[in-house]
Parts: sequence; C-alpha cells; structure tokens
Amino acid sequence: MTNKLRRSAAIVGVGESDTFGFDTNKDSLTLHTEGIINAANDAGLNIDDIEGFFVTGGAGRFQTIALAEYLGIKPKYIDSTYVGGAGFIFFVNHAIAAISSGMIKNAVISHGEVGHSIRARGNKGTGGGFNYDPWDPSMQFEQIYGLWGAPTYYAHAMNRYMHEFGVTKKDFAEIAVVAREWATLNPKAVMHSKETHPFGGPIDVDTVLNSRPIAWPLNLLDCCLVTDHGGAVVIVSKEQASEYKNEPVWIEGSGEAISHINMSQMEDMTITSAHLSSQRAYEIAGMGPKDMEMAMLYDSFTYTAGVTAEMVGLAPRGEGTNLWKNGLASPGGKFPINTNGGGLSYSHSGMYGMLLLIEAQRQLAGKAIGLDGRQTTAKSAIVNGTGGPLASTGTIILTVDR
Amino acid sequence: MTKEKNTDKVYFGPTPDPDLLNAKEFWEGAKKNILMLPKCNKCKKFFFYPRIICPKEGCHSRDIVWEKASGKGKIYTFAIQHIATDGWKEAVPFVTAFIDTEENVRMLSVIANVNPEDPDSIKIGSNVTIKFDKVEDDIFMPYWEVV
Repeated sequence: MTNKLRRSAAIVGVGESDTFGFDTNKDSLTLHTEGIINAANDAGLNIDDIEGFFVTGGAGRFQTIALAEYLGIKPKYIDSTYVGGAGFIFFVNHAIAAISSGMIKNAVISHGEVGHSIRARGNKGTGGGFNYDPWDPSMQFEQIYGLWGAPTYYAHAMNRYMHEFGVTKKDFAEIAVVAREWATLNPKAVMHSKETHPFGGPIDVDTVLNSRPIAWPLNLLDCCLVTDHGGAVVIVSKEQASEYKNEPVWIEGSGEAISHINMSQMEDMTITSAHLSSQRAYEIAGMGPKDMEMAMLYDSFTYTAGVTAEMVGLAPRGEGTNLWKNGLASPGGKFPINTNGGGLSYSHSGMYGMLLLIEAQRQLAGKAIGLDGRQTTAKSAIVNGTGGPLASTGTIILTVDR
Repeated sequence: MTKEKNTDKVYFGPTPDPDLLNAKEFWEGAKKNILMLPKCNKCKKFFFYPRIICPKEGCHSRDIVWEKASGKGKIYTFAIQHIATDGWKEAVPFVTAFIDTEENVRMLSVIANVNPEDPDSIKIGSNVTIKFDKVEDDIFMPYWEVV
C-alpha cells in the first residue's frame, strides 16, 4: 500500500541570495530575504501568503520570528529546529508533516548565514563570540582539549574509517577533485576558475594532498568553503502543486535521524545515522538506492560525502569513495553527485543543507545553471544532509514526472 | 610534542570551571591523579560524560555511583590538530584522541608522548595510560600516554 506521506508535497520554487561567496558585505537577514524573494518569485508565491515558515542560520536567537518581522509577514506555523547543516532537510520532513496533516498548505524554508564575514569581522560589536556554558559536557570534556570546530572532530572519524577499511587520504582526495570538476562547469561556483577565486579552477589529487593540513587526516582541500550565502525553497501541498509556475519536483519520501552531539557518544565513527534517515525516506517513497539517478550528499568534508554514500545505500561499506574514483560521480558519469560543485567548491556558509535542496530541484526541473555538461538527465535524486559532528542526518527522495 | 616545547606542560586549554554538582567526583579524583567514572548501579555499566541518568538503552536508572577506573585504555582514533584557538595555538601540532577505557567508556583527550609530525607512527589500538597535568592548585586535567 502506498504510504500516505508519499508525494504529499512538492518543491515548486527555489532561490539564492543575489550574491554569495566571500565579501558579500551583507548581513544574514539580507541574505535570507534575497533568497526568499527569489524563491517566491520563482514559484509565483506572494510572501504574504506564506503559511509555514522554517528558518535556521544567522538570524539571531529568535531567528524565525526575527526574520518574519523583518519581512513583515505573520506565518501561522513556524519551526526553528537547530541540528546544524542538515536542518533544512529536517525542515522538509517537518513541512511534510504539517502539510499532510492539513495545518498548512505551503511552507518556505530559509537559510542565510555570514560564515565568512563573521570571521572577517572578528565578532566586532557582539560582545564576543558564543556564550558557552562551562558545565556543558561538550565544553567541559571535549572542546576544552582544543576542538574548536567541525574539522577537528571529523578528522577523528576519517582516521578511524581509514584504519578499518584500508581507504587512504588519496581515495578521499578524489571526492574533492570531482567536486571541482563540477564547479568548473558552474560559473556561479566560488571555485569555478581563477577569475572567481585565486585558487579556483581544476585541481588534481596532488593539489589536495599538498594543501596545508588542518586536522590530519584532513587537508585544506578536504574541507568545505566558509562563505556567505542565503537561499530558500517553496514547498506546497500536492493539491496546490499545479498552481505554481514550475513543474513540481515531488517529495517521494523524507526521513531524519540523530545519533549524538558529543562525539565521544558516537558508537562507531564509520557509521552515521544516515542509514536510518535514508531507510525512513526510502520506505515512505517505496523506492530504494537503485531507483536513484543522482545524489546530493553533504560534503562538509571529503569524508562526509564518502561515508554518506555508503550509509544511504549507494555503495557497499568501505567502498564509498569508489563512486568518485571510477568516474560515476563526475560530469558525464552514470551517477552524478554534487552537481553544483558541492560545499567543497560551490559555496558553503556553515550550514549547507539548503544548497543541496536548491541544486536537486534545479537538476530535476532541468534548470541547472551553468555551462554545457552540468545539467544531468536525472529524474530522481536522493538528498542527504549531515549536521553537527556527524550528529544529525536528514534524507529526502525527489522525482519529476517527465 | 608539547613536551619538547615546554618540559612540563601538556594541557594548553582554558582552566575549566569544574561542574561540582554532576561531575564533582571526576574533578576530585583528578586532584588525586585518579580517574573516577560514573557507573549505573542498576545495569552495572560505566558511562561517560557524567550525568544524573544512566544513558543505556532499556535502563535509564537514576541510581548512579562513582568508581575508581583502571586508568588504562586503547586509542579508538586520533587526529593531529594543526589549527587551534586560544592557548592551544602554542601547542600545534598536537594529537587529540578518543580513548576507549577498560571500563568501556570513550573519552576525548590529548596524547602526550607521540610524534605529531609522523602520523604513521601513531597506532590506533595502542595501549594508553592516564596522566594528569596540574593547571591550577586544585585543578588537574587528564591526558594520556602510549604505554
């Protein structure tokens, strides 16, 4: 029997901030707003008609209310779930629940974040950084030893994975090389070329291996960019889907999962909760990995993408990097992955999940921006976001009817 | 590593503000150079970090006791930190590791007597033993050394 959540809603519009990357000279509310306006225009939605409003990133502690106030709208259903960069995929899952229950007819999910500028400005005018609770277990027993951010944690997991499966830094470097191949086809990608960034343009495995170490085994080019970016997607109920400008990109299934926040509580660092979130999404969709024609897999680090490919069933255990090594994931390959250039080479402001959604919609709707060769023929996609120190995962399955 | 740069100092982080409500025994033990761990008095399993409830599936008892641990464990995994903030800047590169203790709990710490310039010389699975670095008169931070 068909799951009633299957195809209960569709993505009908996407948008990004007018500019993104380094030195946008914009605040996060501006980035959010530009994304929302562009997505609403793409869909043909009046922002006064937004019913469900799902916001994370950048806009302060009361982010969803703050952004609604800034726009001058009063949505009737709000959600500010904070689970890191996977949050936007979680929001799709939550929007499906709210839409299929009949509480709302449409949902706008928004992202805006000044990952680059906040560093560049040195927290000036904020009274200084985060207000950490010294008794927080994470502060007291982990961060205090010098773990300050994502790479310092992820490096531990990657090393354990290499130990267990005999996979090497070189194997993971292939993921960064392929991401850059896609970026060279995308003029909007931050690392598209020497014109867009001094270190942009094609790279090879040695470029990755010779880039400076951040947290061994992670080198600089194993790590995502840290940029400024905003974006939004518009999701509407199946009954309304045909009323908007774009061909509906159907949400066949969605799922979320969490495993830990303190990395000491992650039982096996080679297994993320994506095997659960993807199982939940596949089950609703009545589909499996073999039905997928492309993937958007959060590549906060080369490791994240590699291990996620295994977790969502696209590759056997220990063989995730093969998808990139053997050309399947590359432009022109049989199974395109991270077709925008990924968090590694397109853009990544800190919480990248929104850009996974936007690119998946554009590919399936046949609207991928860029030069010849970036638009795929895929009619189905799996999208998986990972947040925190491999702490949270969200998966959605998308299709088009063409 | 850090030993060569400063003969005694191993811990370069901020002075902790020890949680004396839920983790008092841990910090009191550290003062005596002993690793104290919380244990569930119902399912008899150790856990870490300290909390007021047993986190084991199917248990969740609030009957928690503290026991002296062996101070021995194995490296589950490690990383070599090349970028750091605050005091740790002085220590780069340094080796952080998740240690699985004999009591089957996992703790993040630093390993002092290994060479961060040669990752291949550091082995996952190596036996390690706990040490303590005096940060202030009453505050000692655990770290580990390969046996």
